Amino acid sequence: MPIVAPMRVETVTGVSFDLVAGVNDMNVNRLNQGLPRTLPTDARTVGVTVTVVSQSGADGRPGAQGAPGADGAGANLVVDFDGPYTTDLTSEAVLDPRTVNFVVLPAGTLTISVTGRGLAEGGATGTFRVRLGGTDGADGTVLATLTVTSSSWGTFTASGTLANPQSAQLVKLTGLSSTSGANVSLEGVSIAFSPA
Amino acid sequence: MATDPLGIDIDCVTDLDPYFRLCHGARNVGNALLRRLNADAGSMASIGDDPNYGYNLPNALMSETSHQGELAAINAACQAQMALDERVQSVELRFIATTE
Repeated sequence: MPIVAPMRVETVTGVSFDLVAGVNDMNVNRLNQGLPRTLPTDARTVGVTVTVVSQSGADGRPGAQGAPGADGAGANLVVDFDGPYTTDLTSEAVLDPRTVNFVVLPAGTLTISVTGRGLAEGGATGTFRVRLGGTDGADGTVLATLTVTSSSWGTFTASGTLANPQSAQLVKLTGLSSTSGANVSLEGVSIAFSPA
Repeated sequence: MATDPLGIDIDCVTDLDPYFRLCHGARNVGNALLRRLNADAGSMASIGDDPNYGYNLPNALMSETSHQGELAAINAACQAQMALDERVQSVELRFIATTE
């Protein structure tokens, strides 16, 4: 049923007028917009920002097995010369030759560590060397030198480096006394080779 | 530009005058009242303006019945909304049902 709504307005200035709306001045904005107001926001609504929230998903399947890792470094190679060894010669003499297979150690630089108990009598100085390679004589490359000056048994150490020969080599313990006829002794000798 | 105690504004109810012509006096007040009666209640609050602004008369009448109680309520709401305009002294409003 049509409804007529005459309105008359009186302003504070005393001006009065009939409020008459034009044909197009009274709109039903809900019908014009075409969307109900209570719908949740979606991408069709003009001027609305839709935020995509990133969420962590479930764990994926395990990947393929990886390649095997590189071989680990070898353990120390320890050679026990034990002893006891004694010399009173002033010329260097081979006290104990051994063969050591260096292939069990990784290539590259190795460290040699020598320990032992030494004694030098009569005020002499004992010089004990570890040599690599050479012949049956006191030759080859000097890897480490123990200098014994104690007139009572004492512990002595020495160290050095070498390039891994990666093969079986002669490793020789040699010794000499600074004073002819004065005994110099070495016992409990341990020589360890390890990757540097 | 001469001042008007009832204000000067762009002539507009639901759409701007394409030439942005101005209006004043009773027309300016009438435009403002019609804008109030076309706006949803609280529609200005979203922009930080008057939360009491607006009473959508066409929507109210669209869902009305001829029940006198509902028309009376709409009448009261319209008059209350128009009275919020500080330039309005009083409003006479009647709803008259016609046969056509």
